[in-house]
Amino acid sequence: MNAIARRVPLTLALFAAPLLILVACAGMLDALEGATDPDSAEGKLIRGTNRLRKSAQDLDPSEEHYIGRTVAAQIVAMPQYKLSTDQAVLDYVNRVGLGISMTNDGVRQTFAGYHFAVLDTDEVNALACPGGTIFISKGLLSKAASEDEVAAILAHEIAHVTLRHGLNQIKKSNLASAFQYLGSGALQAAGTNSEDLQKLATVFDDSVKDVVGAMITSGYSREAEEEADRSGREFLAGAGYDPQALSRVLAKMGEVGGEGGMFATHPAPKDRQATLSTKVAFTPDPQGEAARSTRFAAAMKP
Amino acid sequence: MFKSLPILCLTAAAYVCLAAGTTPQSQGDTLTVTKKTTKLRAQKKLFAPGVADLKEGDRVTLVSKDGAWLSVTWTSNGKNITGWLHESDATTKKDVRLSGQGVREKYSVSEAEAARKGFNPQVEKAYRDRNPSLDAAYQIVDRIQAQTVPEADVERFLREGRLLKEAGR
Repeated sequence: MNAIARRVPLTLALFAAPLLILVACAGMLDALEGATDPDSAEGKLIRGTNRLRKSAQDLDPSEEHYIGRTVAAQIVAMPQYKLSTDQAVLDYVNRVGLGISMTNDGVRQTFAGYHFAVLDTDEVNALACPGGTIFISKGLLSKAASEDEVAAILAHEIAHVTLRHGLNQIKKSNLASAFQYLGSGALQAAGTNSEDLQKLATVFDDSVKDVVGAMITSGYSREAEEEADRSGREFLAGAGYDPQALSRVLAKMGEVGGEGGMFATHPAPKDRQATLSTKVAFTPDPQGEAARSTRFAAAMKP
Repeated sequence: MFKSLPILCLTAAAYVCLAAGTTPQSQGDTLTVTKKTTKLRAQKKLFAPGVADLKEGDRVTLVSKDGAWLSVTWTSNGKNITGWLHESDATTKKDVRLSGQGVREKYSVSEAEAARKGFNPQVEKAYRDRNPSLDAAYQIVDRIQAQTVPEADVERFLREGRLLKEAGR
C-alpha cells in the first residue's frame, strides 16, 4: 500500500466524523459546499452530508408560503371544498383567528400572515396549510357553541402552522431532492424553462402532494395532534379565551361522532381530551362572555 | 483522492464553530427580514404602533433580545431607527432564500440572487404552467390571501370581547 492509499481512510475519517456530528452547523457546511469542486471526492461527501441533514425546518418562510399556497389551491380545487360566501361568518372567523395569532408571542409569524376561510360543507373539518392559510368547515363551526370554542378550533390549527406540522409531512427523499436545487448555483442562473427549474417544479409538486395527502387522507401523527392541542390551548389562554373550550368542543365531537373529515384524520376526540385532562387556571368573566356570546350569535345566525 | 488540506481545515473549523455555538443572537448581529412586510414597533407586542415599515430582504442590526422580541436598528436614508421585531420576522441565516416579492429597489445583486434560488414565484409559475386546471383555485387562494383586517379592527374586536385585558396587553 503506497503512502497516498494509506492516507485515504484517515482523511475520510477526518471528513466524515465532523460532518456527521456537525448537523447543526448549517452555515459552515453550506459554505464548504460552495467552496469545493462538486466533482471532487470532498465535494461529493459534503454535498451528500448536506442533503441528509436538511429538514423541513430548513425551508425558508417564503418557501413555506409558496408550498402552502399550492396546498390551499389543491384543497379548494376539490369538489367537496367550495368556499362559503357568507361574509359575516368570514369576517368573524378572521377576527377570532387573527386575535389569537396577534396576542401570542409563541405563534410563529409567517411570510404573508394568517388568513382564514370557511368551507361550505357539512363535513366536520379544519385544515391548516403551511404559511398560515387556514380553512374551517361550516360543519365544524356548527359544533361550536361559543366564540371561545371557535377560537379553540382555530388555535389548534394555528399551532399546526407554528409547529410546521404540514411541512414536516414532506418525505425525506423529496426534501433531499429539493435541497439538491434550492440555493444551488445552477438554479441561480436558471431561466424560466431551464432544466433545473423544471426539476425543482417537480420536487415542489411532490412536496405539495406529501402535505395534501397527510392533511386530507392519512392525517398527522398522534404526537403532532397532541402537540397542537397543547399549544392551541396555550394560545387560547394567551388571547384571553377559556382554555377549557378545546376540551368542550372535543367532548361534543365525541358525543355526536361522525365519519370522514377530522374523524378520519385525527385521533378519537376522547383520546385528545385525555391529553388535555389537566386544568389550566382561568377566571371567568361573565361580562366578557356575554359580549362574545352576542356577536357569536349574530355571526352564526342561519 | 483527497488532497485538499484547506478543505480539511475548514471542516475542522466548522467543528470548532459548532462546539462554540453557531447561532448566537448577540448585539451587532445582522438579521434579514423574512416576512413579506412587517412593522418595526415601538413596544414588544404586535399591536404596538409602528416606527417603520419593513419589507422582505431589509437588513437590521440586533441591539438586544427579550423573549420572542428583538430590539433592532434599521438604517433608512442615513437615519437609524430602533424598534422591536418579532423573532419569527427575521433571521441571522446568511444564505436565506427570499421570494423577491415586495423587496425594495435598492435590493442588492446578492439578495436578488437569493430570490431566485428557492421555492418562489418562478417555481409556482412553472408548476402552474403544468397544471392549468388549478388556475381557478389559485385565484380563490389569491382572494383569501388578499383579505386584510386592519390591526386596529382586531384590537377593537379583542377589547370588545374583553379579551385583550385578560391577556394583560
